[in-house]
Amino acid sequence: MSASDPAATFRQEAQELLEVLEQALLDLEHAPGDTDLVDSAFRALHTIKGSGAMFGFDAVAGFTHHVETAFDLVRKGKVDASPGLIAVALSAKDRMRLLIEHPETTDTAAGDEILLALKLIIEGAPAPPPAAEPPSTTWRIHFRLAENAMAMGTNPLLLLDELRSLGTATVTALTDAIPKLDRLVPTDCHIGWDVILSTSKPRSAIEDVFLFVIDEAELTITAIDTAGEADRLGEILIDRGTVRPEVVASALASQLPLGTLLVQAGDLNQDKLAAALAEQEHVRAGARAAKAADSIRVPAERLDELMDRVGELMIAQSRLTQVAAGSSDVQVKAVAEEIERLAVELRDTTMGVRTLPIGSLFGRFRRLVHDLAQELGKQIELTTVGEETELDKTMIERLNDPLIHLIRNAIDHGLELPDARSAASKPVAGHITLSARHAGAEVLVSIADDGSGLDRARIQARAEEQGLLSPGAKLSDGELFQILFQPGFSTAREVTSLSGGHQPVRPRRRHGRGQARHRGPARQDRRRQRAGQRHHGHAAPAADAGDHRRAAGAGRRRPLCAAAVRRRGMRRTLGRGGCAFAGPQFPQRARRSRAVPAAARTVPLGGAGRPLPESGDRVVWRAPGRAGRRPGDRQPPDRHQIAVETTQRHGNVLRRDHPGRRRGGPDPRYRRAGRFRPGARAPAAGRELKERSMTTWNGGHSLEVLTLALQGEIFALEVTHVREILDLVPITEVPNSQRFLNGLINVRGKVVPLADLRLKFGMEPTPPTIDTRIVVVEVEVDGDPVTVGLRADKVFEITEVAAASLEETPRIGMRWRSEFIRCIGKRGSEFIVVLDIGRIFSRADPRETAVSIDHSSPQLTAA
Amino acid sequence: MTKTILCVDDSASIRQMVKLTLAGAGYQVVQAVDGAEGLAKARETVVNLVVTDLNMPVMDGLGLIRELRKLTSYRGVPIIFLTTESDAGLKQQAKAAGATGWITKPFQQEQLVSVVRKVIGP
Repeated sequence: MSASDPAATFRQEAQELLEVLEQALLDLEHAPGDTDLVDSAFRALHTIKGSGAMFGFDAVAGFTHHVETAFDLVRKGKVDASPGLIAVALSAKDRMRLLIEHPETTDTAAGDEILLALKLIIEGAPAPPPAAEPPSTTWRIHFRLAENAMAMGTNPLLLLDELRSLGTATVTALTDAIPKLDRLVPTDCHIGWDVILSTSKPRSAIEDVFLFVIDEAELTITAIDTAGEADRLGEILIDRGTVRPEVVASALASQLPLGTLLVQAGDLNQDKLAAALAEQEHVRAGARAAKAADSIRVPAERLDELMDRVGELMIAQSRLTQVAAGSSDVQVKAVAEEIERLAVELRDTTMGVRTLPIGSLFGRFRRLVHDLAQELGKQIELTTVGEETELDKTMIERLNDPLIHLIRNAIDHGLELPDARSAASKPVAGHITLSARHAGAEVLVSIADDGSGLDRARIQARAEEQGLLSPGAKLSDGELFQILFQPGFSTAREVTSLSGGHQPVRPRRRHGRGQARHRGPARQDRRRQRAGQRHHGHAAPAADAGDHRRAAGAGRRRPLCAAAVRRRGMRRTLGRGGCAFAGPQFPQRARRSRAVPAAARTVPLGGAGRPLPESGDRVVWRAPGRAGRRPGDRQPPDRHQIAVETTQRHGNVLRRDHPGRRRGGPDPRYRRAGRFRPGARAPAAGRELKERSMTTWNGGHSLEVLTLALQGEIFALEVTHVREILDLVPITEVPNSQRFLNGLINVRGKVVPLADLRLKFGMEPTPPTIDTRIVVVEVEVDGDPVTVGLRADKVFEITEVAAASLEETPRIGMRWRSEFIRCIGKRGSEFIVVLDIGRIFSRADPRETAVSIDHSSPQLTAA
Repeated sequence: MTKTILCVDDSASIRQMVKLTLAGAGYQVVQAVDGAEGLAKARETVVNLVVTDLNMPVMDGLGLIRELRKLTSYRGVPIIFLTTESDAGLKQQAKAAGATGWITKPFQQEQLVSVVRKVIGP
């Protein structure tokens, strides 16, 4: 959208209006008498027509005019909103969209057909188009009629009515001139009036009201400036000339309400005060109304930029906090705290700006269901649940295509024809439920239909036929249904134009950190789409080191560091000379090295509290204080220290959702919108481990990695583990039980074991070259934080393995030790094995060696 | 209750036009051909509005207005006069005589209705 191209603005606006229209039409189908819906449809049509004509979309305006006319008749109750009319209006809506998107369309036959159908339905005369309203002005009108005006046939009430008919009017009567009863002439007019009128009509329209009395009456008409704040009473009184400025000033010196004071002082009577107060209220009410409707359009990139700035601000702020913590200056501490509070609020506000209720997406599907149902001769009811669930706008857009696909599939293959349904004694109308809800830190979007369900046997047979499964393989439902997401896989007897396999769902859900799962073998065909809600889903990077306790404080350590590196132009090839990571850019990391094991407890939830079948949420109780790092602290938790952690049992993704935010560090909920940060896997606790070996890897997010070479192979480490990169330093050889640990090195006065991954991976040891580097990593091994040096033949760069290119570790046909591999990323034509360092050093590992990579793996090359 | 309007004009075509227009707008119309007849009709029935021409034989419009204003029952009843062009002097005289408003000839039907509505309401 750009201000310089009004046509583009119109297009965008029209798209939204067409959606409103469609929504109203579909709702009307169920509630034909709802005048609000009719009005809503009419308004949309009216605006499209008006703006269309203004921006040169004459075809659109001309066409829309007829549809608008029809709905004007509906509005006036002359025509019913019959299903026939709605059907025609829906096709008219499509026609409008076509005309808007392709103004060059010259074929009018389709449009004429629609208009003819429309005419047949309404058979009514066209209504004159209402004119657009010019902007409104607020006027202060003071009038006092001649005493004999009523005797001369003027009715002041009619004058007031006429004023009211011009716009919004607040009328105050001025009764101060009414004489005592003995001198009162009932036919004389003693009352004056103050009218505050907001109208779009010109001043002359107001003067016309007083046309016949203007010569004899006392009349002033003044425009009031309503642009700013409503004037204060004193200003209004002075402005009206009711009270002199100095009187107001002296009255203000006292504490009583100004109006009361002035009345008491005799400088103002009650009526004039009431009139002035009425004006104030009128203007304020107008301002409130204007404020309520006040919204502006902002290009999405600007919001992204804003998010970036806020992210950088948060980093700078955390540095400040750290500096302040080490400072003895109380004022610095106070300022740091204030800035922290403001930054946190700013971040929350900024993140809130991008969210939209998912209902805006769901609304689009109603038409789809309506059309498909008609096309296929099925009766379908669509129920939507949780439309108010808020998601980032980008995420909502990304969900669109996969959801359309799933709904099509559900309608085409899931739901049976009415006959089949009756035969199975089901209700004739099939039911599709589209729901969204928060599940821990995520938003769970699910589509369920009450169709025939998944045919286990068919899927298995088909998979065997296609060579995806070895004959007779026994798989759990979950594993078997996962096959549905394989490219080109479909059990349908014939692939229809509507729906093929589920493969299109896959890349999207990856991108959106999603998981797609089929559930339920029969009866119910459920397809789920999981979308990590970004600002709730900061993946805790320490989690893959295998400890909940560490994960509890993880958000503090790494808010955005990798992104910051890139933005600050620090991305570079880390060759000769190396590059230390520890530094002021990473205060979190520095802090991490001092971290003592956190005093957080992980309590599986589900029994007593709320059932958590989907999310596997946990409530973490953390001792109070700074990130709860004092093990001995036994104070009860407060709301700032209870965190809900989500450990995906299937996906092994640990995410965090803080109901209350801790102070003193970037919020772990924070994620930059528009990009996905690395997701870390769940703790290597027994249950998850077992399931992980069963389940395929789910590293479906982008990952910031450091790439290095070992015997010509490229491997990668997550940057979150990397402390620094060193040139080869002197090695103190020590006898060691683990063969690949070949000595100790001195890193800044600290003794660090050095490991040669070549040996661990069963490669030949080589003498050091000029490219040899030592990557110092900090990982958790069997629950203990350990700093280890890794010898690498070469170190390349920090890079991001994009979400779309992350592949699950292939299970079938692989002979390597998948436990050592986080995931396999693809960058260009290269495959990058992302190592799981914690597992490599685990003493619990029963086997000492060997990973061998099967280069001929067809799954890998096919990826 | 239907409002009654007395139309006083010596021109049959104007009377006809006023009658049709105002009857179409939901008013009842009584007609008179000059001021004298108008005054008689006005005494007969107290109407809600008098619409009178100024230039008429027997009793002109100004005379009619003055006579009507003398009647207690016509205090407060609006009187509209029809005038050609903006004859400011005549207009002032009529207003001074007690007229409420005026319509400048030639006028459109809608103008007549809007003036009548303005003065007596719908």
